[in-house]
Amino acid sequence: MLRSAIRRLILLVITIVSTSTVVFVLIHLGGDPIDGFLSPGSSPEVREEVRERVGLDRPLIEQYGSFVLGGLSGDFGESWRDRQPALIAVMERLPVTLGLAGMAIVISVVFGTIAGIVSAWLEPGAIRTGVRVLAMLGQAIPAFWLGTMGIFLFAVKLGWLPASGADGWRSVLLPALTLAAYPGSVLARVVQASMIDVSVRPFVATARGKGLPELTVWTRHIWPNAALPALGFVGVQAGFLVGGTIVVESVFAYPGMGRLALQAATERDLPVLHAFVIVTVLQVTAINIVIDLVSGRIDPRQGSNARLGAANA
Amino acid sequence: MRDLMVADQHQGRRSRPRGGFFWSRTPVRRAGTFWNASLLPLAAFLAIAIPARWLFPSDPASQELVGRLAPPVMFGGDWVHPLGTDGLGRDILARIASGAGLSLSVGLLAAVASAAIGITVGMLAGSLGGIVDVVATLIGELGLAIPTVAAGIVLTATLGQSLPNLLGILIFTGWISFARIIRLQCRQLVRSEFVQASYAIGADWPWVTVKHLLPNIRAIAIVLLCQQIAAVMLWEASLTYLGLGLPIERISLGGMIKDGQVQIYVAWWVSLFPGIAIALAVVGFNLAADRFQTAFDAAIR
Repeated sequence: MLRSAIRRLILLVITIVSTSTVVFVLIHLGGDPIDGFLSPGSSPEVREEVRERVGLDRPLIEQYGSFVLGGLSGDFGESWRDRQPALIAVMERLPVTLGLAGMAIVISVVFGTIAGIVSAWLEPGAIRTGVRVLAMLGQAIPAFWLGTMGIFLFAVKLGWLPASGADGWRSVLLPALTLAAYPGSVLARVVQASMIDVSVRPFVATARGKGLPELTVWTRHIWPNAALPALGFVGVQAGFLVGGTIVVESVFAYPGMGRLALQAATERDLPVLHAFVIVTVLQVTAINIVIDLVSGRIDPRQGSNARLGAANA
Repeated sequence: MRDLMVADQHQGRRSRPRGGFFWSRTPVRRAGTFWNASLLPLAAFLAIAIPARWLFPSDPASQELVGRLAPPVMFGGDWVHPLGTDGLGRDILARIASGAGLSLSVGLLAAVASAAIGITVGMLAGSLGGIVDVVATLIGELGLAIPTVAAGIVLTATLGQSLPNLLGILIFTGWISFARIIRLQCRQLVRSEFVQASYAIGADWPWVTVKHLLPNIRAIAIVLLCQQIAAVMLWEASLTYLGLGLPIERISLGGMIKDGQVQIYVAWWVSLFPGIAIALAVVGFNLAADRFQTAFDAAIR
């Protein structure tokens, strides 16, 4: 457990340094970094002043050094637009995004797991096929389209839920359901396949043969062994969940991190952009650490074995 | 004797699986037949995407401001615009056909490039091991930490929005799944008896790679490729919707849904149909992947 934690930490440092490096290179490949930020007609004096203010007048290598160190320490500099620290700008939006993502995770885990388990437990038939078809559709429908149709149905036609914004629990419902559709479908499919796969293994027959009640066979023998590959799969999808949040925020005009990042991208507010990317990397890493811990709990052997087994990413 | 034969035939007819591909009750696997109904969604999508120019003569870019937001045929529209028109009076069916073609080319291009890179890296890492393996695995894990959308935001903010940049993002995030799975596969193969035996009688690395590894990963590579095309097309649409993918002047399915979202209060059809086209493509390629998987499983047995 400790070893895997240290490994993750080292990996995190390498990830932040290399991500910062790539972002830095891209920024300078795209021409003068302040070009997109300033209006095209601004005078040379203004350009010089801004350049000095944001530290672009320093030698390139010095800029690079402070850029990477900033990425590691969380000091990304001031937002070019409103002059508050870029990290604060991102962190202010983080709770909104985390709330949405958290709710989506809960919905997708609850529904995905239940659908997967029930459909695996029942004999092949209408319900199993139905879950399979729904899961297939859930994986194929783009989230932004699903969200748009949700707005049409629940906000425009029925008027039950607000179409956009974030005030009150009613406004989080539609975005969270939209976001949960993809991971929930993936989970249902993986859990179903994994349970069916495990349920025909010899040790399950042994468990039945020694007279265990069917419920115990499923809860103590099949489920734990089937849950591990499913968990590993969720880990690989972590980046998807974080990315999907940005898409869904954009559909529902939800004031989270993703909207901030898209805005920063159009205005070329580079410190905010840098802070956003690093916070995103941290989110993905955090999800992976949680999954490592949970699979370590379920599996008395090392959790990493199970993660390797989840091959189909 | 004759009665027996009749009974036999009768039985034969009854024991055939009932219903279509989704609801077939009996899991009957007829080895040898690759084509079945599960390939229909893909065929339907290809039928829209490929012959676009000949099948739908109306120009996807021509505007007709008097005929703005005309509804589809069943909802009060006419057959001139079967799926209605958008906010600038452009024919939605023609735009879907054109956008689907572009989506498909982007998907194929990005998926094939990802496959080429991922398979090469995966084979090198899996068969050579050692430092190559460590470095390749590390780079893969680094790539997985950066979500596609975040990569898209950074690249668009710095280098701008263009087709080559979009392909870059999709390949940058797409090669990793190939590399991971092919690497695992090659590691298992290298340890297997027949490869060890090959090495023992004096085969060298290139021989083993070409003669033993490549043929054995071909099946899984084709399955992965189909899945990747589906994933790439989904991402392309999402990135374009966010304004990070295809430039606005290109006709694309994601862009059409974005246009339609503004008009969702008055005209649902503008965004409904392009979304169905995307879903059709993704379901189609995923089902094709499943189909290949089943066929290969059957071939091994």
